[in-house]
Amino acid sequence: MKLNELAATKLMELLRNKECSALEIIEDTFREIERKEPEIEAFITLTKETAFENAKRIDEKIASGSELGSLAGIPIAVKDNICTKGVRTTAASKILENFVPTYNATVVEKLNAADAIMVGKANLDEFAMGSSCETSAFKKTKNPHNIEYVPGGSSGGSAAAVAANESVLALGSDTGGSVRLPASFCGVVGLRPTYGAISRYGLLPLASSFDQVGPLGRTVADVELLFNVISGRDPKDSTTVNFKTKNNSDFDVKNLKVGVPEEYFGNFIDEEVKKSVLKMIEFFKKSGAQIKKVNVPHMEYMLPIYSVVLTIEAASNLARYDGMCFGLRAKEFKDLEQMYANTREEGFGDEVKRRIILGTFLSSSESGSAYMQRAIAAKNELLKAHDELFKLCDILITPTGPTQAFRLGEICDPMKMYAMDLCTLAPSILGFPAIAVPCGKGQNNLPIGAQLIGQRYCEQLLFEAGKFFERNYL
Amino acid sequence: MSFNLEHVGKLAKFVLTEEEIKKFDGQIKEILELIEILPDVPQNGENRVNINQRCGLREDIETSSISIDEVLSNAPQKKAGCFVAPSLR
Amino acid sequence: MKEIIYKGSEPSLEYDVVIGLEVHVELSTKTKMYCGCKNIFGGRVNSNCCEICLGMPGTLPTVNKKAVEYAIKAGLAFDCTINKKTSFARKNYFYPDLPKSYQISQANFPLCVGGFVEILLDEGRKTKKISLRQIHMEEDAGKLIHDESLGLTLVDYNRAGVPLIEIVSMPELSSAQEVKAYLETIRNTLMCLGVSDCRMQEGSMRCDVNVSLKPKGSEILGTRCEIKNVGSFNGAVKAVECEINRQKDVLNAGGQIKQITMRWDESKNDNVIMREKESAVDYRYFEEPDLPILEIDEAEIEKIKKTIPELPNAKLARLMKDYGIVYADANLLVSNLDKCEMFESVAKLEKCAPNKVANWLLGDVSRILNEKNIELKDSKLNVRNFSEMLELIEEGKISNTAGKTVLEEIMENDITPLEVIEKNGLVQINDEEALKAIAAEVLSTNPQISELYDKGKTNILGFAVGQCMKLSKGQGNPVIFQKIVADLIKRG
Repeated sequence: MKLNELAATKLMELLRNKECSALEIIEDTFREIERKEPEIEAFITLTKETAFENAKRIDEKIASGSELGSLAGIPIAVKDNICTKGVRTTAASKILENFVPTYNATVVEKLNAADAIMVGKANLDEFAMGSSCETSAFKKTKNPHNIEYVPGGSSGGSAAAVAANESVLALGSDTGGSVRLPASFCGVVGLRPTYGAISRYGLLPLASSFDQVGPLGRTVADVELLFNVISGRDPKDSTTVNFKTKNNSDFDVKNLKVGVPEEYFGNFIDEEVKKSVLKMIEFFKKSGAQIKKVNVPHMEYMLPIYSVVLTIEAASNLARYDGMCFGLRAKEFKDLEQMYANTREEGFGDEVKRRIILGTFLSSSESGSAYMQRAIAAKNELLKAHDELFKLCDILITPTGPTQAFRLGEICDPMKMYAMDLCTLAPSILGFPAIAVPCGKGQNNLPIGAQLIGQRYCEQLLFEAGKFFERNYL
Repeated sequence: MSFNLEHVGKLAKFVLTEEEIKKFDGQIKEILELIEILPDVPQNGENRVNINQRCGLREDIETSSISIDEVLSNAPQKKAGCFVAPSLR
Repeated sequence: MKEIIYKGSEPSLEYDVVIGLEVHVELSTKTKMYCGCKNIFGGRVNSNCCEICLGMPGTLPTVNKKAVEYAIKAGLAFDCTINKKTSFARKNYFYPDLPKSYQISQANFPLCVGGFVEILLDEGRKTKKISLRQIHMEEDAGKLIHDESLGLTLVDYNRAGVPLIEIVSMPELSSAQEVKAYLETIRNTLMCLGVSDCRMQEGSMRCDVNVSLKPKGSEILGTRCEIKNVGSFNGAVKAVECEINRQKDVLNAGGQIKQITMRWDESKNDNVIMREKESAVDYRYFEEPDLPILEIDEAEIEKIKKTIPELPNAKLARLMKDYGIVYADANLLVSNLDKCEMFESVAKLEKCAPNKVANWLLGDVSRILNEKNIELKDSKLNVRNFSEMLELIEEGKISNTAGKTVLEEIMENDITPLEVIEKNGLVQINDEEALKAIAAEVLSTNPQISELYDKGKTNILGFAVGQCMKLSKGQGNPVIFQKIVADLIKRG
């Protein structure tokens, strides 16, 4: 077995026991990257040279007996909307094609401190706006399980890299489902943490109220390992919290109360997906967990709330790309106004423009300006309903995506694309953690992912339930 | 509510082609329709998304600035240590 | 813009003038509002910048604790209510001096609300309370440097992110003079609190002025016009006067006021139109999602309250009452804390009348400081050498004229007044016999003095005393000379 195919937890063990070296891990990983990348196209930028240097440095550390970081020698792909000092960070947009940050995102600093080895910057939908990875200005990543299909988005490159063994771990970012959906499409594990659990400092913002960095891996234990390294209060991000996940070391499936919200199993869910997720629920039931049918009121508010908040915040967050201080500046312009307009016209793709225009309108005086308040009031209603729901159960199990991965180019209508997020929006809007766990395969060899949703700060319970499932499910 | 794509485009600093206007107008109106199901509520209270958080404060202690080379490293145009804009006079 | 004939007159009796002000003041914290970069004026371009104040993608703001404290302090000084929960908001607009393309300000939940600024009018005989709408926190923008030769605008972001408070008044001011008094009170108060140095010439205090006119006694407000970014007290006064006159002329000619935004052009000595209403800016405010709600602790407010010193209005009244000095002097003193402190310390020693201390301080001391372009604290004048000098004059040891020489020296060098007197031989001669000899010599070499005096031209005495002073190299006591010369002439 090649080293790059092993789990991070296993590799750590081999490395500590000197059964393999960091260099060997990186060699295997890059051999795989070079073999598969022409087809998969998971990366925008590869950092082979520094990866090899770092691997050698870690091997020296091992040889000299110095203390190792908790991700020593583990290859990791970093989504290309997370700032890396000296390494181009593009957000898959023409407007940042040549942008080289002068600083590291806090999560990247933490990875470095933990001796992880970055192998490259992973592809995504432009500025993380999309559910298929197809809005990237540079390349279209393919689903490693079937290259005629999309990997999901927006963290499609991160999920594909992990699924294709081009990396062991990956960082993605999740605004409305951008870690969970591609994890589900690519058959890997992906976590959206509690809002504020992981620093956003250095993550190029889409919607600040929803954005979170999220870990991806091939096992729940790997995702847990990575989460523990990158989470925690960051003085540079005022929205981070002093994170203490509830300890569930005494996890017993017989005490687990699983809520099954009826609304997540409606007609919009593909039959095969439904079947697969229900089988997982059946497994928990047979294992002794209590299964409860529950209802989530006002599902119809999800997409409207998300659209309002996201577009208003995105329009403001992306206003800084104006050709002034960094990024693209149009070649042709007569004056300041033209410089702005031509730069933004050239630099942004359709999906980005569409959302900026909508957000600009929704926050303008023309719209009456009440949309944000209306969205927040609706959100507060949803929050109350979910707080009630979690009095009845510990976790919810739902599908992650309404369908399996779809074909490249299959969905062109933006509304149909937005509908891909329907199952993942609630945790995003409410700030709850949710983990996507593979629960089977359907037609065309394509994976299906279930979503486990917990209350704020209940990541550990999600990990325990996920690990139990992984260990015991066929 | 009146949605005027050209006007909003200007606010957002875009020059939209006719093709784009045709394409976006319908798409955005479709989303606007969807959004209209949000309940109309009186405006009051803490109107923010994340209400469970409280703001920490930073001590007034200097941290080092970055070098002028770093400041300007991504500038599309620079001159005499400054960023450059088209003439505003 | 329509030509304005500046009449410098009081507003017409037919109109009430309604003025509201937004005053922006830079806070004198060590670091910027949302990042740890140095907050200082000047310096090499773009040398006090980091990824945060440059608005680099992915960066996030953090709130400067000191800036919040200073803003609360200002709020308490003006009797505002401090909101226990306050939040930040984004003000969105594109401009090259704004790297994020939005300014982090406050909108619906500002830190301080209500309160008032009490201004003194009519030489302090009248007071007027100007209500405040709010005081909120925000960040400054970068600086544009227009290069005509290159046909470019250069941008320096050293100032970007510097903490500001914006003090927003209700439209309750009614003349240029009130505007001036209002601005002075704000400046004196903030300087007294130590939250800002309020240097208008460095742009650390600027204001936007809203002016409207309505028929006298009318309840309905007229259309208001705004003058943005006025950078000096005189500018504010002139901008307001010009705008009042312009609006009066338009109304008197039967015209209507259109809502316009202008800026004060110092070189043209007039307001220049920036934009008309149709192109009004839509700032699309919304709550800043990168900064959670800020909760202010009651205990913290109480703690800050205790640090508030005696405020300028109270100080001014006390100076007039306790030291018997005139309003004009007291007003000048409260506008300069160092001088005020020096005044009180020296006056308390009672070496001479307080008004003499004030005269020296506001006259020759200020003149010398201005000539050298320095502040009092940069000179060598201190309570000890200053009071010694005043005592020497008071005791008649030196003349006022010699005092000026002494002052120049002790402000410049480490030398005591006595040492200056000794070095320059400035001791006043009070010995009548010695003075009589000098006077006699003057009268004998200038016989015309006695002749003219006898013909009734008694003012020739002044000339005689002058000659005596000259002959005595300035050391003779002029009062005694006066007496002696008169005696000698009368005696013939």
